[in-house]
Amino acid sequence: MKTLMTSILTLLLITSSSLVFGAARSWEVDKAHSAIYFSVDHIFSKTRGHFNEFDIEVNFDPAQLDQSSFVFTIEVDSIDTNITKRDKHLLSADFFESSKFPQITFASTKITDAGNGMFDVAGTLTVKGKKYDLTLPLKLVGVTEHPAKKGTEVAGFDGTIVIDRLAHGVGTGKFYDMGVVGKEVEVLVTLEVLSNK
Amino acid sequence: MSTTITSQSPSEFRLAIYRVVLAAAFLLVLSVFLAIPSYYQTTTLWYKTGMDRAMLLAAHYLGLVGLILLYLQVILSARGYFLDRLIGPVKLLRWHRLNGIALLVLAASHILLVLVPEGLANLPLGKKFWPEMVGGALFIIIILLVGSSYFRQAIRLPYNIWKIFHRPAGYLAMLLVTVHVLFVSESFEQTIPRVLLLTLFILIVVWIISMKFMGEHTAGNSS
Repeated sequence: MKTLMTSILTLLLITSSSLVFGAARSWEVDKAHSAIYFSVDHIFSKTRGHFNEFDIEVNFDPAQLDQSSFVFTIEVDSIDTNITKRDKHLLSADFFESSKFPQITFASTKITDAGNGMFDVAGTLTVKGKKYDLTLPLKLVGVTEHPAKKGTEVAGFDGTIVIDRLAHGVGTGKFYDMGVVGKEVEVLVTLEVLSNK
Repeated sequence: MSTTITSQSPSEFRLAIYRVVLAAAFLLVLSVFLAIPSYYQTTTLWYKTGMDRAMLLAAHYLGLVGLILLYLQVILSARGYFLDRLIGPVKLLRWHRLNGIALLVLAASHILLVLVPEGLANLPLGKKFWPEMVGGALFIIIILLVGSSYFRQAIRLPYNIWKIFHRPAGYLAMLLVTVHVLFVSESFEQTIPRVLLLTLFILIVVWIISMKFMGEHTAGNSS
């Protein structure tokens, strides 16, 4: 009984605090117009790919950055480089080992305004079960009423970051040493998020 | 007496020549197909080293031996007057049964040797891996074909029911192995291997249809 009362009080406290302080505006990702692309060197050329399945929780208000947050969850199995055998190889222990580590996540811990519409989203990137600090620079491209959906606002974000895959445990360096696959992976995040006005 | 000897000897000699020619043709086809992984190497192999590479290469060769033996299996099962006379129905049946076991072993080895280098937990499942899944379906059909043949009496499967299933499933297996190889293997994306495989497939289909037609024609005449 005491435990139940404690739980109810805790829940009330959390609810009331969010009412008092006000959570940042919640946005829903328009998945048809959002993507997480990547590009990596292959000897001389660039190999590009993307993840087909991901979920992003966006709470964002430039005026309430301390209440804002981004949480990315990427399903590794959905990797798509347009060649199924290459995808299968990327899912193997040579790279992502998706059977053991099916998700990549990035949860923001602090967002700061970097000026000119840029926001530095600092957070924790979890790849293959290990956590790394990462700052994703996101540009707020704009906020406008959705031209095709009345009563809804759309916000756009773009961000590019270069990640050293070997420093994040994606591969042992075997293919890098062979001069086949580069270690620096350029990741492009492009989002359209929707919210009722 | 001497007339009898001279009339039988050329016939036996001719049959022996046919056997040698057939065996040579089989070995030639097998050799040509086994040369394909070397001449048209898959890019998958480029990224495998050490034991993984050896396993994947072995998987390619075993898969191709399996392909040719599956085609041979259909030819043996269709029999036809020519093969019956050349090899004999008892020997044909024995070869058919042994070949079935060989196919099962080859298919199982091929699957294991393909999957182990990529990780057994990293199975190619889902829509985009449909050619691999066709291979999986083929393996199940081979298990059912061989299992139902060897354990038919133990599982009390009536012969007429077994026969209704066995022959069409054999033809389906031939179709599936062709589709599997054509779409799963990068080597068979190249023109020459593709044309070779399709030609062989069409020749066997035409041969089976002609055997069936000739068989019915003969049966019609005899009745």
